[in-house]
Amino acid sequence: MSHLEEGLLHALLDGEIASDELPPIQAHLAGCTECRARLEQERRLLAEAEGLVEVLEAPTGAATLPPELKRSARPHWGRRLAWAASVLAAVGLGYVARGAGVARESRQTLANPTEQRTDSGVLAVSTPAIEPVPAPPAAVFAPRRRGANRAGPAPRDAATKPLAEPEEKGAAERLEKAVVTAATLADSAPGARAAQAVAAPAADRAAAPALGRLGEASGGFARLNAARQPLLAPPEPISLPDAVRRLGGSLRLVEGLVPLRLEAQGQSIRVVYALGQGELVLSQQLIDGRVVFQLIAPPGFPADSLARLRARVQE
Amino acid sequence: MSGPIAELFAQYHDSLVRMLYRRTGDRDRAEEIAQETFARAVVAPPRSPRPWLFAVALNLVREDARRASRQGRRLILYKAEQPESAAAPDEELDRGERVAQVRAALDTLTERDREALLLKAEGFSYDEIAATLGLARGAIGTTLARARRRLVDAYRAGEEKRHVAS
Repeated sequence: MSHLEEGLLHALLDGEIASDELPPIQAHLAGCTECRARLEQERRLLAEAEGLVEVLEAPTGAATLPPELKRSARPHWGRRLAWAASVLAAVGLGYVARGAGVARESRQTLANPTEQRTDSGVLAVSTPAIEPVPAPPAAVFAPRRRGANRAGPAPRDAATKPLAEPEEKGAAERLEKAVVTAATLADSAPGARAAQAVAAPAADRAAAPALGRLGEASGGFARLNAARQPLLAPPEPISLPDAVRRLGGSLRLVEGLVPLRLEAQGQSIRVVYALGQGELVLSQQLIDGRVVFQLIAPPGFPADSLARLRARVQE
Repeated sequence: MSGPIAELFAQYHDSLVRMLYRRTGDRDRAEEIAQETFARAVVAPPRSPRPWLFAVALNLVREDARRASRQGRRLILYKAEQPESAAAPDEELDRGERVAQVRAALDTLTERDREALLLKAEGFSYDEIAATLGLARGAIGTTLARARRRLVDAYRAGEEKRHVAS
């Protein structure tokens, strides 16, 4: 037997060699000091690489529904609009209101979409930090269970188990957001729905062991993406009346701060404020009759200051 | 909100966001892409959810990157990764630098190698990685071996450069 290939050594270290394939490999290792040394070398490499990936920690903040918004209350449109208009006038955002019905070009000057997303940072409400994924044990000779992962969803293993636990309420709300987004997509893009119907079965097949059909699945995903308007489009300027209308008649602002600009991104309305350290964004979205908001501060912005600002968010 | 979808969300959301965060370096973007991915799963529930969800999410990342590239947007991602800890400022700085170096090293990998590595870090089996990325199962060991080596080599090279500079 020639020397063991690098990929085989890694499969061995990852516990991905089936039990009936192990004996010849073990026999070779028993008689080949060079391959044993390489195996040890690859084990160290694997551990170092996994350690590096874990350095990239998961987000420590996640959007949740603030307690004061948990009550289900759809505000009266006209009253809220009048209130929002008066507040905006008071804080000097009148120029945004003037943008209503005005040609798009004139509103372009109010925002610079391209500068968005480069300074995203701390979210207002944080969940407990997610622990880094523990490295799967490098069971050198642990045989892979044949077909263990071949049918249906993978079992919740050691790596995924801690992830499902934290903060169920926040998770439920994020799911709710996804559901609403999906409903919007389905309503607004019949073509996309058709594409989805084509793509999804192909994607399912991708997960099956019939790997020969994977190309088709990739094509399905590509078609799906091409068929619908991306949700992650850069923010665009929006007029005050339009923003208020999208939020069901209610717009939230940070009391005492003067908005820099008003913009829409996907389903969200973003009120942007200038801070010394960068931009503060109050992103809000109407979900099932309720306005959900996130306050997004620049990196390094003190958490207690952010909490104070958050307390000043008002309708 | 249907039960199976809620279960899917509870089971995979955090893992998906973590992988996306490692991939993009941007928390908001990771969360947005995850939301979009689950939105699609709601419309057409997948039968094999984990590979499906991660494949869709990675596809969205690629789409987003291509769009950003077309628009001439330059995504400055490292800035978003300020560590949040109670550590002393110096330690935080060191940690921030380390994170930036690891990300820079990760960026030197090919898309396929990087994605295989990140999926493995989420506990994916070789079968699942193969299904998610559209690769042959037999190629996964080699792909991961190459990805790991390149990551470690690029990181070490960055470290050396940093020591020389300082």
